[in-house]
Amino acid sequence: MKILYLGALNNYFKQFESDCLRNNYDVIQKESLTDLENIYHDLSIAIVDADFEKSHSSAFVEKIRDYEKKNLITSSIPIIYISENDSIDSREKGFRQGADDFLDKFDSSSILLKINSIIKPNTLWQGINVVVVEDDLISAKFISHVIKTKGANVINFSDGVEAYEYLKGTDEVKVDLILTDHMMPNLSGISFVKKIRNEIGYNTVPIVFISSIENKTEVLDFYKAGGNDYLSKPLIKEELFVKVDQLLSNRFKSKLLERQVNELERVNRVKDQFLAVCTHDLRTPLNTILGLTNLIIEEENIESSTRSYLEQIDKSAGNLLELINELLDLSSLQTGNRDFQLSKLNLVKVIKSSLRNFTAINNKKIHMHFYSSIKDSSILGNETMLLRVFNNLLSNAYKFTPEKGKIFTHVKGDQDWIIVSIEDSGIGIPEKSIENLFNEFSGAGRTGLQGEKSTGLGLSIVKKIIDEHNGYIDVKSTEGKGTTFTIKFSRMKK
Amino acid sequence: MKILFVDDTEDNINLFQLYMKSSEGIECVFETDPEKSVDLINDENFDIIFLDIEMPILDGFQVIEKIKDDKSSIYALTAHISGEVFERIKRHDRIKGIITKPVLKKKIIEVISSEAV
Repeated sequence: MKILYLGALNNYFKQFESDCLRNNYDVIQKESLTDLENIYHDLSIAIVDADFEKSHSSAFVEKIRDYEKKNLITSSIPIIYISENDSIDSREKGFRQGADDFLDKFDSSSILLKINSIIKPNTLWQGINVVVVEDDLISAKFISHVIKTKGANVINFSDGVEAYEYLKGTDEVKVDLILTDHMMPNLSGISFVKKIRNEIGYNTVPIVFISSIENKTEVLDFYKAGGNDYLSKPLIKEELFVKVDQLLSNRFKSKLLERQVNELERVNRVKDQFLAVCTHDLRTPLNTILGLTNLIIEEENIESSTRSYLEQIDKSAGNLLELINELLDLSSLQTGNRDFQLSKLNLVKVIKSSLRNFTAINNKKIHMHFYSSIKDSSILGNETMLLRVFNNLLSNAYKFTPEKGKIFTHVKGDQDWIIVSIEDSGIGIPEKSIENLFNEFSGAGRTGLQGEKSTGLGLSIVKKIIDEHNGYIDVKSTEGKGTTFTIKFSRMKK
Repeated sequence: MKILFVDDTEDNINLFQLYMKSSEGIECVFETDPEKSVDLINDENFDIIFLDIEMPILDGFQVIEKIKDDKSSIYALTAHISGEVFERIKRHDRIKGIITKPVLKKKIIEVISSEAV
């Protein structure tokens, strides 16, 4: 018995193959169906990669179904259509050709679950623990039997109190489903559900209520107590199976997501620490490179070619330093290492001191204009960080504005807000870059008009700092005309 | 004038030695061990101390705590340009100025000439 994978021989397949091998399934990979008659009798499932199929303008599912028809095969094999693009179109295409199921290509656990349910239907719920609380022996036996046939473990209790004691000493992760009767001596089903939800604090495990009560208010009480589904007696095997199956597959998925979220959080922390340590250590050798280069440049009797090489080293090392500084800023803002203090400051003063830096280096004769229409520009902020914001925005404006252009910085305000706008007559930002402009590593980093290097990190740092100040930043840009950044800070309450 | 340079990274100390090679009339002492620097400061009188902040065993702040001297001008050397450490340096009473790494000769000379006045 083999699984046929119709798709490219790539990393995805290798991962899929190893997942299958771990479950003792043999996989064969094909990129065409030319020898279907030789392999068909060995197959138990076919998995068709829709994206591969599309790029090869083929119709694998249809070909398999045609082969079955032509050879009068009545027990056709199940075909799972997988794609990274879950759209109605791709689903429709699969089902129209004759596929049995459609799954997300990268949801490997669902794919394996599906394969398991086809190849080994009696192990569908293997490893699952179900608690059944039922005082009627015949019902209890029936429920246990149905659930056990799919491979789950069943723990039976004839009394709510006993079940409660058991659950109290068990971790919620180890219980996947609880089925409970209502009419029981000692403890009613509703009280039992209330106790496990409220007292033990089980809040994710699904609970199914089994009862012959037809009274709607009582059923409603059960749901209110924290139940998830209801099965009425007499029980029907198929209904029991379908409901339990749905609840369990949701439980699987949420458990899986929880694991993935935890893992992502861990990896993200590692990344932040790595960035913080790494950037700090990267600066140390630069100390020597920049220091010594500068020292030699300042000597008088060196050849002009040597001097120009040294100046290039100095410039490159300077670029590297700027990149590291930006990474360092970003990581310190991200690791929550940000207990920089906020204090009352004069925003106009900060902007002016940043503007002064640019008037000093303004060799493009750009007209830099500043105007403030408010008297009091006090806000609660961190001066170092805000300087970084304005240096960043102004240096962008400078980099992307041609000679003799304009950069207008305007501060205005109303009762609640102080609004700073920085408007340039530069080359503008392409519309497709605007959306991700403030994301880190957006790739939006562009080389300036005089070849200035850019990391693409600057604006994400600006955004983070503005966020820390509970402010807002917005951008409007027209290609060829210019860009305006607008920042809003809340005024300091008097 | 007497100046002390404290930095645990030997490369940086080498660089400072090169910077100060041709400065006449200035006595320079270089130290890579922060604990020894405490003894040095307590035994001798320095006009300027260039003190690295991130050092093992004793960091720059701890060195300042351990010294009795209150006359010398202390300048912090740090790779941090923002964040917690930077803010702490800025707020520190005993630290007169911050020099961010990489430290160029220009900056050292600027500080020395401002102190010489």
